[in-house]
Amino acid sequence: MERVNGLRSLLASQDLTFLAGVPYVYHCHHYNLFHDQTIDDALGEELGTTVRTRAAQNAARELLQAIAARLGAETPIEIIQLAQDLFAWMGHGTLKIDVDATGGRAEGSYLHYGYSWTEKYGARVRRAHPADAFAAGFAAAATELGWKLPPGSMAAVEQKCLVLRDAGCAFELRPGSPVAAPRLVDEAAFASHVAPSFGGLEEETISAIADGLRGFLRGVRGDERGLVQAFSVFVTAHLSNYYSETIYEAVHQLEKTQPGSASVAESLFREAGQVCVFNTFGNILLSPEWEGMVGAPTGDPMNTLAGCCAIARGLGFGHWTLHAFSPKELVLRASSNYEAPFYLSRYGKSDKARCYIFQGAALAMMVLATKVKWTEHPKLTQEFYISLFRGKIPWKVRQTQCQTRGDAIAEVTVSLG
Amino acid sequence: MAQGFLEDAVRGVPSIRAVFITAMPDCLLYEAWVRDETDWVIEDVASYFGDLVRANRHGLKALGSWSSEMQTTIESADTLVVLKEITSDFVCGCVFERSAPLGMVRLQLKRLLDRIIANLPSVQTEERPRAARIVDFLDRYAPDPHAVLLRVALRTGIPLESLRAAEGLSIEETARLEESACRLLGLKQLNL
Amino acid sequence: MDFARDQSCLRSLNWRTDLPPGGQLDPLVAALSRADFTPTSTGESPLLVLRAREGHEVLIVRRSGRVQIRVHYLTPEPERRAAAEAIFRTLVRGVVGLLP
Repeated sequence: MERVNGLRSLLASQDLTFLAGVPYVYHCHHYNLFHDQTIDDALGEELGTTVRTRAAQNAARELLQAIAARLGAETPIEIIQLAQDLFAWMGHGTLKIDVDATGGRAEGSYLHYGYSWTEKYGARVRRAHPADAFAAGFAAAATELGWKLPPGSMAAVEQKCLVLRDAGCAFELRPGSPVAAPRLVDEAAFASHVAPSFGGLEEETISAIADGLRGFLRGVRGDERGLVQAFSVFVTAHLSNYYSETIYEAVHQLEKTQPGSASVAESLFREAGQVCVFNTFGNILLSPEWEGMVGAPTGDPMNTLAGCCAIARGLGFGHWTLHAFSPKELVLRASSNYEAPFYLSRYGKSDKARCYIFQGAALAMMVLATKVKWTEHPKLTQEFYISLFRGKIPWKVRQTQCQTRGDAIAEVTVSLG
Repeated sequence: MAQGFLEDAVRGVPSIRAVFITAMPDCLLYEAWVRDETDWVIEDVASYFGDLVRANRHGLKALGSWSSEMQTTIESADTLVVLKEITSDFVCGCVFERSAPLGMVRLQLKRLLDRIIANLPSVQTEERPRAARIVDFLDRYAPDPHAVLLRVALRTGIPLESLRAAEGLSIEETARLEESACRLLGLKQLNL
Repeated sequence: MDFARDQSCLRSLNWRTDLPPGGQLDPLVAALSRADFTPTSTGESPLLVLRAREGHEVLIVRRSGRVQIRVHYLTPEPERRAAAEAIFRTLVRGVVGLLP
């Protein structure tokens, strides 16, 4: 998989990362579980699973096709092997695909979603539907590419899952209904939907730390389980097109069928951004790796905010900058993020702001910067999250500029009241 | 409530590791004291202990052998847990070191419970509307309780403001709320 | 030297201690090496990482003396604390060995 490491690329001035030209970012299991859960809340488990599997299949097909072309993988065996190795390298677990042109089976162990759900919630809650739609879509995409089948011609269903208290995860792959391939949202598409890069407060510090973090992440890959355990969480190198397709398909569906519920879903996707910053960013800030590279968090709000912007850039979220900060107001600006380019490429302009993760992240950054006593080694527990975020936040977040709405840049403002 | 009364109550009880007081019938944490740093979620522990005592009471009543003096002793790998319904409103869960001799634990327990009971208020429970109790239940047991009302609003179409004042929900809305709660928790029915 | 849980979303895997200020790290690394820990980071790295055959790791932040003990994930949960304590004892012995 060292060859795959060589396929990473960076749209440097935009802090966007690509694998063989396909956009990818890093997200932790807290975010991933909350994200998928929100899709199912919006659409119900059945349609939610369908939408998640289809998005995974679309995104994975784009990635596998690009990587197979660059590495010269052509035969079914080569492509299936590549898919399995890549899946584990990205931190999604171990997937064994046993298929031919008519379908077959796949077996999963330590799959990121099911395994981390069991770790996080398994002792508290019983779950009635499987968790690994991403693995299902990935296996279907690998099968289609291996046998040169058109998009959608293979369908995967998870029949056994760790979260259902099965011993492992198992998928059935069978012929599906071919569909037109969705429009590619690749590096070129992203590059055409970003603004010229600009700096903000603490620019040099943020830029240097982001470079350091990217350097660290180049050495991160799945362990013998196919999981990435880093910064005290399970991390995945994940396809941002998967996140964006699922979010926007869910929100659009609600806008069409239950307009009153769309704003509730948007609130939950913003909350997903909060969950990401609290858990991923927070764990990075508290890690010995960060302390060695940057120094322990000082508790000074600017130190925390600069660290968070650097982390966002390092994880491939885009060129986030600190435009203004006071205890009453935080303004983040970005020449790029991973949400707007997808929206514009796939759907065109919107009549409202659509960067939900950016919005929620900004609010969480304000809270982490002003409410957390970093020098006292806080524990990032669910109770702490609730104490910080539940019903006590004096600020509101608004996206004041959005590229999907025709603005030149993305801007979010966190202000009192 | 006398703040910190548990700190005084456990003084002179060397083998005690933690005390949880659960308000019944809602199984909500009333007060807790934990000796060492742990990653226990005290609200969860208190709730589970309350549920356990309630289930124990139902089971013993079904056998016709229940009495209000019953207490439950659990010997786990590293702790000895004693659960007791100390008043009609409160359950007390005492967690001792596993190495403590049982006779000594019983002796210390009596003294400890006397001190605790002397500090507990008498509570007048009111029969709350089922919808409000379902929301409380979700708050306690659902994954991501910080987002649970938004999740239920999204799943049921019931406005968030109505869920925040759940006692005003209609019968039909309450049924939808309950169905959604069952789905979120993976349960066939809620035992409230 | 205190021994306590460190921040982690994965149960009982990370533990923390802090080295007394001003100590030299080389003799401590030697003590850990004698206990079968092998350095995996380069000499100049701001973070010193040593790994045991069982997969446990010790991370030492050079600039602050913070130590994180990472118990290997395959260690059963009830045994994680004891595994970390054993490494902590090795560290303490190493630190005591540095005292004049």
